[in-house]
Amino acid sequence: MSDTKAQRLQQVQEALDTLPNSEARAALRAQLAGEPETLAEADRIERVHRMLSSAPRERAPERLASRIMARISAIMQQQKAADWPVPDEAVAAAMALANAATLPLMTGAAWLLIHAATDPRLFREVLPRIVAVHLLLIEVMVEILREAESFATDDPQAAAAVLALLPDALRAIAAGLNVPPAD
Amino acid sequence: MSDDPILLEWISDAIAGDQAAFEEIYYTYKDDVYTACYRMMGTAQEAEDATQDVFIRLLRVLPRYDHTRASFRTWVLTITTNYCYDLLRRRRGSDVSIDDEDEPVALTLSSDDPSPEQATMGIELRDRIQAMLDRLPAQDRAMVVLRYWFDHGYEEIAEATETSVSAVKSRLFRARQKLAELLGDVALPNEGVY
Repeated sequence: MSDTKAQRLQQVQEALDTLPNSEARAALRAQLAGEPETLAEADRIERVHRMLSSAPRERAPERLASRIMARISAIMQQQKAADWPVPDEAVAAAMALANAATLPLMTGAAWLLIHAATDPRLFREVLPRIVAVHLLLIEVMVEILREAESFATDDPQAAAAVLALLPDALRAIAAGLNVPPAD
Repeated sequence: MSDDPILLEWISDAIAGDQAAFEEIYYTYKDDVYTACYRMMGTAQEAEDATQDVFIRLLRVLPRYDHTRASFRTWVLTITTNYCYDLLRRRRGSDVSIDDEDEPVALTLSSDDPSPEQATMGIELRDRIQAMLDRLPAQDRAMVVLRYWFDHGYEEIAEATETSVSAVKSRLFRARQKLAELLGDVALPNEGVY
């Protein structure tokens, strides 16, 4: 195909895409009057354009909706579960359990700190141990929280029962430490 | 870009996990997505599967939609054509060119095939167009589909197919020339003989 013919055909094609006015397209075709081969090619391309322009649109089958929405529903439920996998009750139970388990250790560390504060030498010796105890406490709390969350997720009824018993357990610990129970 | 405020509300609600909002999006765009899938994939069964996957993908990427960059319809069609293009590329290893096809298109486009009923003519036209589209390389096919079924301009097609405007022009021109070869002398419905 010669360069001129290719250029002419490109112009024809661009006109099909950008010139909705058929008069403007006719003017362009008039320029091809002296080039019968190019005109014939332009006619063939214009037929394709007409055919594609009149092509029918498809309609999605009705049955597709139920299939797609069932999958969408399952994905949305998974997403919700992933966003917040642990119920509120489980978090409350886990926090309470972690506090109850670490309370004696924290009380002991506080008592040691208060008594060591009067003696600078003893304070220097005790301080790193207290820090170590606190680090240990953090580790323990994280682990207890993890376990409690998993327990509560697997068995929410048992977790609720544990949660209900916690105030009594804390009162018993407080009584053991001679701390007056708070109402 | 100016999307309908209701549509933007559906989008944000769907992102927040509202299934009813996503359903509204589905019913608004299902025919567009299905048409693009049908024209890209070539059969109703493949189009149904692809439509399903496109909407699942749409749900996952919905938070990334930026209404200041493109209309939602253009964005949905971009996802659709890219998905089908990837599918075709993976399935066939590379673009299928009509030059690689041995079977002459005249076998599927016989001009002496009578079809008196209007409805039948519509179906036949659809099938014939599809037979010709199937012979185009996947990317050229995507451009023809966006141009003729969704009335996209060169810029929109370039954006949807992640290519340049000049590449769109030359591919679209080449595709039309190939389709003209394939169409041959077969008469179209509005040309009398069909």
